[in-house]
Formats: sequence, structure tokens, C-alpha cells
Amino acid sequence: MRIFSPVTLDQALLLRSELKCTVLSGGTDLMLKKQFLLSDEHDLLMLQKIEELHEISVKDGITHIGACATQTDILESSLLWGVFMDVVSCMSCPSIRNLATIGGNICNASPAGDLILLMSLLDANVVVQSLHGRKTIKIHDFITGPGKTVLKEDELLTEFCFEDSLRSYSYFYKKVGTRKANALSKLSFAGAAKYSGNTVSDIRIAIGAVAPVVVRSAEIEKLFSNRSRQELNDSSYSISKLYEKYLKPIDDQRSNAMYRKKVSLNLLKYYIERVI
Amino acid sequence: MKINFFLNHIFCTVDTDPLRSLADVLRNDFNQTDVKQGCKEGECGACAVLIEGVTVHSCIYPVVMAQDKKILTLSGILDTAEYQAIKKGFSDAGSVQCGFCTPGIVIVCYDMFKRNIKPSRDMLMEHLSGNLCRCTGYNSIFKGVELAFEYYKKNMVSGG
Repeated sequence: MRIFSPVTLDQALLLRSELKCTVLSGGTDLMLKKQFLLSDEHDLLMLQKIEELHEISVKDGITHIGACATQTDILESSLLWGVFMDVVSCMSCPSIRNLATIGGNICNASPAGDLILLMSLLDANVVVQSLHGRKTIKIHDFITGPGKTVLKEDELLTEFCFEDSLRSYSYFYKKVGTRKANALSKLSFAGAAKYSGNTVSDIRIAIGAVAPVVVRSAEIEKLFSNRSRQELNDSSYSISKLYEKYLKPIDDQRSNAMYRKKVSLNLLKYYIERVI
Repeated sequence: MKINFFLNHIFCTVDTDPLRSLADVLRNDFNQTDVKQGCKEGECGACAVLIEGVTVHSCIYPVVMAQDKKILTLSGILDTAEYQAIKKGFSDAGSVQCGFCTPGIVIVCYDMFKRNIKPSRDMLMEHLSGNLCRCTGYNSIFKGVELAFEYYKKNMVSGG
């Protein structure tokens, strides 16, 4: 096994194109899976030293988060807003958050990945770079299933970007886990709403760990945008009926399908009737 | 692969598998038995060490990432005012039962004191959320940290 620790993105892209290498960002997931993922033939590409991948910035109304920004970086950034704190503070524990990166959480592509849910709610774009150039992929298209992404062997995920104006939305986030720290989600729910007067002009709903990928439906959201709070309240039953068909949870060591479905729909109902 | 780092202020070199966990290297190659290994999967926090002043769980930290970095374990902070206050606080409050989780908890508290984070109950529960105590003596641990912080502040003011 050879280890490479480039200091510039160009060097990293060159290495990625020439070698079959596994990417190491924070290492908190890879260390647990190394016996399954790595062998002596694998080379390892460490991204830690590439400074530009750690940056969080806002340019021209777009927020950028570098793929190697740690969860602590996100938690402490003055450029991000409340829902980031809500989500990240429910993830792992401070000592792990000091290492674990957003890029790792997304490339791991777990249906229970908490930052995947948030990026999905924000309609974030994923920036993927290779020697051939740079492309932007919607987060919904980037993750195709549990542990599966469209990232190719010569590409690197370099940053996430989304509209900074989303900070004006009102957010609701609830993670259901065995305990507050160090627990993976049994399921998670996030909602965002934009108000103009008493009307909810835009509503977004994302549900995690209840299907192979995060559940979001532009169709349902469009149907129920530009409604008054009262109208939404009255439609809560039909909204949950519409979402029900998207929920395809599984039984696993953390929870079971019935519980996941029931609690997701309860949270959805709670969000529509009590939070909005 | 040869990896160099500063362990408790001393320059060290190790030639090993780069993906071995730092906790394993510290215990078995450098005899740092104050770094405890409980779960080996980042859950229990007994292996907490400071790397460049940041707390990490060394059991899920590949040793290759420690290249050229400064590592502090419990034995590297024994002479500090922070540790002396923690020692007194823990001893007065009876915070140590079997003691297995103690080195990790002391490292987290040292980091909090260094960063001047006042250990309110909420703050303590948050910062120590990654440290498990199988004796379940959490209340006495919290009390110990609160006392330690008082001693630490008093000591800072009196310049002792």
C-alpha cells in the first residue's frame, strides 16, 4: 500500500486519475471498514492537507462548503445558520466531529446519513472534479442507493453549494435515535418553509432512513406550496397519504420498518399541524 | 511506512502499517497505557488524546494522519495547572470508580479548560457525550469537573 498526501487539488486529481486509490478524508468511517475495503493493492489518497477543501464561504449568493470541512467546522462557522447546528449537534460526539467530514458523510451514502438529509433539503449541488474538468451534480442524482454514488474512480468530490437565501426559511429537524450522542438515525425528518404573510410560499420535506435514498418529492411540495397555514393544516391527512407510498423502510439492527414508517408519518403530521 | 510525530513533547518515529490505529501504536509501541482501548470503534472515548490541541478518539485515527503532529496523552499533561485542578476535583467528588474511562474524560476536560469553556451541566453533557462510563458514575464525574473548574479558576486568579 502506498500513501499519498498531496497539498494541492491538482496533485490530488492527477493521483486519482493515475492510480486506483481509496480516498481518506477524516478516516472515522474508513477505519471501521478498512478490513472490508482495503487491501495491499490499494493506494490511499489523503485529502487532509489540501486547504481549499476545508473552506466554507459565501460568494455571489451561493454558500460553498469544502468536502473536507469537518462537522466541527460546520458547527462553528458563522456563515451557516441554525439548521446546520441542529443537524450536526445530533451527530456523533465532539471528538468524532473534530475529524469527520461532510464529504465523507455524503460519499458514504448511508440512507441514515444526517448531512445527506440536510443537503437534500437545501437542494444542494455536489461539485465533482477530475482532470477532465469540473461538473455539478444535484445531490439527488449523486446518491443512487445505499453506499452508492455516481462518483467515478478518477473523480473527487470537492464541494457542496446551495443558495444562501435559504437561510430565510424556517426549519424543523428531528432525529430519532437510540440516544443523543454517537447513535445513527433510526429515521430523521427535516422540514423547511418560506412564509409570505400567512401563506406558506414554499414548503420542503425530507425524510431519511426510510428508503434507499432520502425521500423528497418535488411533486407533492409543489402541490402544497402557496397555501395558507390553515389549508395545510386541513390537508395534513392527504399529505401524509401521499408521502406514505414513498416510504419503503427496512428492518435492521437499529429499528424496524413498521416503527420507521409510523414515526415518520407522525412527525410529518406534527410538522404540518403544529410547526408550520 | 515511517511516521514521525511529537508524543508528549518528545520527537518519535515509528515504522508501521499506516492504517494502524493511533491508540494501538501508542499503547503497544510507546507503552502509553494511559490511552485505554474500550470499544475500538470510536464509541467509548477511553482512548481520547489531543492532536494539535484537538480532542480525537485515537482508536479510529489512522497513525499516518499523525505525521508531523503534536500528540498529547494524559501523561503529557500531568504538570499542567489544568490537570492539577482536575485531579483535585475528581478526588474530592469521588469521580473515579474503576478508572478505565478516566484518562479519556480528563483529556476532554483539559481541552474544555484550555479553551475556557465553563462546564455548565448542559455543556458537560455535550462535551462528555462521547465518553462512556460503564460504572455509570456520571453525576460524580460532572460534580468533579465542576469542582475542578472552580479550583482551576481560583488558582488562575491567585496565580498559584
